[in-house]
Amino acid sequence: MLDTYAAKICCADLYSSELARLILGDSLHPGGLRATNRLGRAMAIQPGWRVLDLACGMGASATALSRVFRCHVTGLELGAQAAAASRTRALSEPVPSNVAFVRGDAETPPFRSGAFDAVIIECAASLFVHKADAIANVVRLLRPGGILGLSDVTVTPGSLPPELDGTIGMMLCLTDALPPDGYQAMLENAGLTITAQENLSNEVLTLLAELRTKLNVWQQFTTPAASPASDLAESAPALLSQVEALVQQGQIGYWHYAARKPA
Amino acid sequence: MTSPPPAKRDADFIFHELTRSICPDCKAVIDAQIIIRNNKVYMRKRCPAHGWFEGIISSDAEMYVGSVRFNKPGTIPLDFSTEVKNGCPLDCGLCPEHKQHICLALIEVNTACNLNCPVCFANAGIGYSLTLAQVESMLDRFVEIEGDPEVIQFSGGEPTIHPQLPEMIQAAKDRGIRQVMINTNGVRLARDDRFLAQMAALDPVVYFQFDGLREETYLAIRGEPLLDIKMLALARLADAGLSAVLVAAIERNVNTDEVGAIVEFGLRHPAVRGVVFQPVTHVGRHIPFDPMTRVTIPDVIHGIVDQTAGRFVLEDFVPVPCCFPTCQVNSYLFVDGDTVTPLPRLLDIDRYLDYITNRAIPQLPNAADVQQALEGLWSASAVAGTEHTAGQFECACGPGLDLPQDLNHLKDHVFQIAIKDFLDAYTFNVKQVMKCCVGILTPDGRAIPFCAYNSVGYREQIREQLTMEQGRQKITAISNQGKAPA
Ligand SMILES: C[S@@+](CC[C@H](N)C(=O)[O-])C[C@H]1O[C@@H](n2cnc3c(N)ncnc32)[C@H](O)[C@@H]1O
Ligand code: SF4
Ligand code: SF4
Ligand code: SF4
Repeated sequence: MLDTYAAKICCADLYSSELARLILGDSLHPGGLRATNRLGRAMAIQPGWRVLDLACGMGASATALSRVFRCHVTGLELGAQAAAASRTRALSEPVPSNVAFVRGDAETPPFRSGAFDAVIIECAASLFVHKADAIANVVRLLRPGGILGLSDVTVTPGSLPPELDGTIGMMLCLTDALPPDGYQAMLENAGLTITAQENLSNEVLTLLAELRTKLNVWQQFTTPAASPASDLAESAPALLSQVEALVQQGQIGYWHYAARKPA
Repeated sequence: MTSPPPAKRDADFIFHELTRSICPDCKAVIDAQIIIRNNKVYMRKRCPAHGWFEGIISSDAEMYVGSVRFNKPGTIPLDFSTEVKNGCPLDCGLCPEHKQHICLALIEVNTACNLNCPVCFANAGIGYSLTLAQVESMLDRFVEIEGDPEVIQFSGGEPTIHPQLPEMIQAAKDRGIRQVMINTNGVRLARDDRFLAQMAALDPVVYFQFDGLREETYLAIRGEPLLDIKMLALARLADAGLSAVLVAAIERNVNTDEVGAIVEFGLRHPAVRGVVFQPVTHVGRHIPFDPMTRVTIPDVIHGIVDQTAGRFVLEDFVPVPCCFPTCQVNSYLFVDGDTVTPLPRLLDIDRYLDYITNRAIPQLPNAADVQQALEGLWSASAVAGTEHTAGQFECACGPGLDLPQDLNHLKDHVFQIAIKDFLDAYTFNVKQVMKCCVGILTPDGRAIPFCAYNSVGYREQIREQLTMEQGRQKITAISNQGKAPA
């Protein structure tokens, strides 16, 4: 048990690392806030709702959602740096948002049953170690008729070459991702009814193109010894091309789902 | 006495093409001839009711005609807001006949201004002020039609005097719009510490009205001595860490001799990441002008070349392919201390951005990346002073330059010069607006090509409608105040 927790912390720290921020920015998923808003619309989040952002990363989605949909958002995040950063963000942004942040494990969320009208999990469910239990817990947190919005990277089983199982694969949320019908089944098995789903795989291509430019610039400017993960930087361009090809072939994608709890 | 037999003579012009325009008097859509005389390009047209009109559209025919090959295929937006009914430019927009999506969208948040310039295409004054809710729904619509919107610019009137500008900027960022700009005369930035701090936290790129370095220029174009306020505002922007792009309105006999000095000033100022030159558009309020001698893009290019002691050559300025290529030219400079290198010297940009003659793109391993980066730079949505633009610059020219060590400061070294010739009733060319990539968003969900908005009558229509609506709402609110609830 302790081992799993340590692994989670390690993964969580990876996402709040300088490297991840340099590469991904504040919105740690393909499509950034555009995709987040799309998911929010698919969920039909209403003004005044209590919304939980599970594994909220740097808190970019939580603060934006609270202002765009005029709802209350609670962000839960395990990574220490990310949790701190999201708190700072909520306090320092010039336009107030209605957000609170809590540090904790998304698989054992410290909230009472039925506390939320909606839960959002962006690019994080694939990282959960006990996925079915975690989703069952989410269902518990939703009020009857409440809605779950989930977005994640999809991977056809067996399509990942071994090179993509390392850090880059993890950063791109590939390592433990499910195929599109895998998420469907996960939601339906938890007793939810899927009300909307959308293929946002194009956003992965956009993200990869941006990554390529950033890595390009980064390589030009950092002397190998000084950079934190120079071996990674060296192999990155080839890896990116590989991922790109897999996206184009439909093996890797990005989907979102809205799923309702029975009333 | 018999007179000699009549001899035929040649016309003193070349008939270049036929297009459509509007009558400067009644705005009726009429045919227009584009003719070339003495290496200058003119538009000549006749309104059945108001007679003949002629005006210059380019003072260098070679540049004008040569720009055609930079015409890139357009991109179709995800949704249109109007139908094809009366024909262009009366169906804006965008209607399904439009040839390009919107790279750069503008929202005019108000009509009021803290200046009263004799030159103001928006004819700022009494009118409307949009609500935050209206702006939010316009932003949502922008996302809907674009999917992945690139740039939004808040304009006016004077947007900085709208009390909810910070919320509007945040709303654009919350929707994932990549770049947010504010278009300002700088007066409030010069005076209001709290406002400046708010802007510093939101970090929009500041599109900063700056017509020259002489007080007489401001007196002529802005009606007031503004030089000190401009300098103060720019210094404060630099202190606050905000990036500015100088926007200079250029008018004949006023500041055509200052374009070089404006570039030099911008290159040295710590807040300034680029300069945009806009020959004065004779719509809204303007000073008297002669349509035969107005300033056009080549005048500004020649001015920059002549007034900067050999820093530039004409070829440093390249037409922008995303809109119609006669609308805008860009150049990019790499600045390292006193060394200034125009990007077109390092790279055969012509060969990457020529879409007509289809000359082969150089067979470099990363040629496709370079072309993509150049398309990003040579577009109406490239915003000076942003990491995105700096990244594209690096990608395009990387190997050719000795770049500085520090990645975070790359954007400090990339400087943009853009020259945009907006259309007025004398120069209005349907061919250009049909492929316009700059749209004014309206609360009813339309995106109207900027030059159509200014010249055809949309601006007046929409302003009247919004002003009336707000007036009615106020009257209802006031009359309800008197009544006690039942
Ligand atoms: C790809 S990021 C997505 C972050 C955020 N949802 C976003 O879209 O910006 C994945 C996040 O999940 C967090 N995470 C992973 N496992 C977690 C867990 N068991 N509990 C809480 N957070 C977790 C990581 O720390 C990381 O911040
Ligand atoms: S300018 Fe474009 S949107 Fe307007 S009428 Fe012409 S084609 Fe349609
Ligand atoms: S030109 Fe700009 S600053 Fe001048 S009156 Fe018009 S809106 Fe105001
Ligand atoms: S705004 Fe006017 S000048 Fe600019 S691209 Fe559109 S039509 Fe051309």
